[in-house]
Amino acid sequence: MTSGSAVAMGLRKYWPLIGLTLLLVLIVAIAALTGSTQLQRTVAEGLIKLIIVIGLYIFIGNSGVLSFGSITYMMIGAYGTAWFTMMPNFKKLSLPGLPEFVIEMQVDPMVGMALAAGLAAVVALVTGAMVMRMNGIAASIATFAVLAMFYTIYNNWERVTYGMSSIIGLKMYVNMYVCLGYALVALLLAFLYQISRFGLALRAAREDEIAARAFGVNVYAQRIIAFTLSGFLIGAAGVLHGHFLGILTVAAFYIPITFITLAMLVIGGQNSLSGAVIGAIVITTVIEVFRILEKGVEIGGAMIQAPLGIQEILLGIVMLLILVFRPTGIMRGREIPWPFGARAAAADVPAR
Amino acid sequence: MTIVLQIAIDAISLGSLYALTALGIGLIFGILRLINFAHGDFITIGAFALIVPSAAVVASPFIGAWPFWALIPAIILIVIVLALAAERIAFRPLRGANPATLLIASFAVSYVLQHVILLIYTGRPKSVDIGGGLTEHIALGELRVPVIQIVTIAVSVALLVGLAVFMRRTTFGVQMRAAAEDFHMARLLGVRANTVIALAFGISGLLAGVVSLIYISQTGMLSFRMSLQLVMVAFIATVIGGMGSLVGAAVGGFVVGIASVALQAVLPEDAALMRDAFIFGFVILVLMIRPQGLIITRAARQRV
Amino acid sequence: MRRSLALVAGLAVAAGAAFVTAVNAQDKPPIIIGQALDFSNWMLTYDGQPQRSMEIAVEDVNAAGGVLGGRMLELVKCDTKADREQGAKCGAEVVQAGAKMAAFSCDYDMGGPAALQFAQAGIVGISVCGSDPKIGVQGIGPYTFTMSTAANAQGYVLAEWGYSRKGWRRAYTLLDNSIEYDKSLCHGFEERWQELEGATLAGKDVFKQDDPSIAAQITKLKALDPQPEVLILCSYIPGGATALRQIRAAGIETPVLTSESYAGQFWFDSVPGLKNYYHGTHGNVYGPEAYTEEEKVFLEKYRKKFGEEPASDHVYLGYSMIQAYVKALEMAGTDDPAKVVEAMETFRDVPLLIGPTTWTKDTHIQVRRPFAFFEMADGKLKFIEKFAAEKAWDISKLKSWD
Repeated sequence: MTSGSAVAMGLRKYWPLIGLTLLLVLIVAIAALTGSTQLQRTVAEGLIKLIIVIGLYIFIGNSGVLSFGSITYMMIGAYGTAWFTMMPNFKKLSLPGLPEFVIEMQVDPMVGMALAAGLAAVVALVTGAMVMRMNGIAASIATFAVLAMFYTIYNNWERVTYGMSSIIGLKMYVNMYVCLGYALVALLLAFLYQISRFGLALRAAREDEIAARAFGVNVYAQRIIAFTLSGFLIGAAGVLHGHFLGILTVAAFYIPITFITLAMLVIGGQNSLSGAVIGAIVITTVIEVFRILEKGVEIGGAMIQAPLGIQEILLGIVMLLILVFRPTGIMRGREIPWPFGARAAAADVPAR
Repeated sequence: MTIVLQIAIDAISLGSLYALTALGIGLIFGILRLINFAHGDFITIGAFALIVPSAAVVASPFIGAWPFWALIPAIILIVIVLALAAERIAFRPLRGANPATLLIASFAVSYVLQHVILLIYTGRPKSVDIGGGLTEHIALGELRVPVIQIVTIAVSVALLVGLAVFMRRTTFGVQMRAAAEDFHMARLLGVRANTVIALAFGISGLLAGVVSLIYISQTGMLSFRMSLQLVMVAFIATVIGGMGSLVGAAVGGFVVGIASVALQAVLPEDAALMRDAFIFGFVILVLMIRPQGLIITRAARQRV
Repeated sequence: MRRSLALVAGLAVAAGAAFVTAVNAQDKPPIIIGQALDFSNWMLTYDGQPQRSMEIAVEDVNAAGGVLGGRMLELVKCDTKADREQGAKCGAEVVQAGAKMAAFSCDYDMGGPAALQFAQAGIVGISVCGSDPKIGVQGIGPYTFTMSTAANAQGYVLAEWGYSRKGWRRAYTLLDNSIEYDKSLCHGFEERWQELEGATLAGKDVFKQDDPSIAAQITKLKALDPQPEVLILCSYIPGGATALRQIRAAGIETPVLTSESYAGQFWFDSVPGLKNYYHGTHGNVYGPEAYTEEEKVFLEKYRKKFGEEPASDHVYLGYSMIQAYVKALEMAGTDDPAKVVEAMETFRDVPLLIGPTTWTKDTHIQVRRPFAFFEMADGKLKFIEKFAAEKAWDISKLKSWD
């Protein structure tokens, strides 16, 4: 085998990662070229959701177990960054229930990101260790119970989370480019995990749990590993969310965001990384197109305007249609195909 | 003593409402492995059918103004038709899809239904008063019990018994139980899938219609997200009870209803703020101790 | 001949004048006012009324020749869909459209993201009916205001009114702890109530907006001996109406006092035969016999434009917002936000449609505006009086953790 073909092999192995990276960069480049701040905000928002969806994919896609509760870690990440990066004066007055050293600290955003996402990962590890003992649907519902529990606690833990009231004053450093940077890191982590020994073991257990066990895979441990990594990324998305809006409210981290992100994953195809990415892009685009339609667009001199409130109905119908025609998602569990060479078809087999 | 009795009645009455909702969800889950998130919207639409479709601030009663002998069947019929339509349009094409796909489909159905209500009726809550006499209360010795609580309990018990008889004594019932335990095997043994599934949705719609009526008699208010909490609790109940087991769903409903009333009664005010955290903590605990739920069906036990 | 010459001259002058005005109108750009409000989702219940009345106010101002020497007002709308991300996007959108002042949603938590965009861009942001004091200097920023009265201050006025006008002494609060407004309301009430001579708190309890049943709370309430003389319900519609229905169904006929969040009469069907019900809110849209002249004129315009009665008194807040802004523009003589804010901070009992309005350097919310009180009579709200609390709520208590 020549070194050239070895490079091609490597390229092909990493092609999903490269291809998806190029896709995201392309989207951001287009948004930058249009110069529309609205579009750039939409892309930034979409990228934050994309990071959540990638996080969901790492656990759900690889393990086959649904998690309804992963938004918990987004909330923990978002409040974490508030705890670690806001001014000590504010915390002394408004969040006096925090430990003394947390009140006193004020780290810069990057460190805050690492600490907050780390905190989310630790909580994911602990809750995951409890929940992953269960099987299938019981585990899914238990993750939802975790979300509901944390949601109630954060809503009422006034001295630490400011209760139901919003925390204001997070540094608004997040824009489209920051989001792109983190999205690419998330993509990389998800891909490396998926081709790692751990990812492969978990995927094996997804296909046939008994056989995987027989081959010595500790399914419980593998699920916890994936759940923790997933919690880390979703926590990071929470950090970005906080610094993007500049305002935090517990109410933002509950059922609507849970469902829209799960819908992105499932519609794209939960069994592949490409599915997760494509799902997030497609749904974000559909929402934005209908929103523009609701505001009214001029086509050939005629003003076309959809009635207010129709956007959501159309979105629901589009989601249903996609599911009916592609029950396994847009990507059908495959990665994006290798576009070059005669053996293109070979890359079109389902991901390992 | 009186207060304990009173709390017991509160608990059983709330438990009945949860049990009926849980049963509607459990029935569909048992057969299709579909967590029907849209079940709550069936309940909501049954309730909205009581008033004239309009964005007006003050709602005018529509079916809600009919005499009860017409009102009750009309609402139940509407919800049954809706449930059957949802099955035909959204869920039948997805038969055999994995649970995640089914769940998201039911979420999409729910999302569409909610926003249709929002578009027609606006997000402003509406009021309607049905079952005027039900807001009265009667004296039972020292107790003063609202009639609605007694009606809720009576109707639930009647429906549960009726359903149990149907399931055990009729051919369709036996087929449905077989399908709930092992759909694949049941089909091999000649159970017709379309009939059984349509029947399950019909019964689930009937239960949702009844819940609509009871719920609205109790609350008097309509809003497009009115059933969210109810359905969330019912899911939890179904899981605690044991997914796939109808008895389990009913038991789970009662357990959650009774637990939440008991916690509300016992917890001091500060801790009562955290009531739901205790309830969900309890759910996790139950699932850790008995991951298959309280009532374990044979099919569930056989799975790995 | 001379006559026709005069005519020609006259025409020329008229044409010249018309030309001059046209040039003037072109010279003077409109003043753009943003509306980052909910136009289609559930917050519409709260945002819809002020949003409509802002339109009426803008028409009024423009019909009277505009402001700052003939500049017209122009509204730019963006639908936030009761969604936070969408709200932030709307905030950025109306800023980009050139708004120097913009309205945001009633609720602090929902309106916050848009308000922060206004604050970042350095334009004036005014909440149509947010009652959280953190809207202003203490939270979102120095350019942010609200038309409403602080929730704690609303608790104060309810307490004083019940104490002095109804003679109640034993109160019971039932708190729906699902939103911040209700927590602050009950907190304010309890704080002021316990300062009043001889007034006691018979007890308190909590429930949640979407609890299907509050039977357990009712059972606890019924077991009290002696029974309270008044129930304060800190909740909102629909859950609040549901709670009241269940309270009455359980045979508890104790007087009930509610505030702003129970606004409107549309929910009365849910509590058949409601009696012993008292309601305090910003203004009067329910008692025609007590309308002021300004209210009559405004309501007539509202009916004409929208073909129905306003659903709640929040409708006055939107109109008052434009009144306040126009006044501040005239005081400042410019639309420069910094100058306008300075002018707004000098407002002392400025008479607006909603009532006398005061803003100061550190208080961008009302703490002592009179409330309109009503009682239930024949299935309708009957106006009793306007009443202001003696003691103003102190905004520096905002961050007290007792």
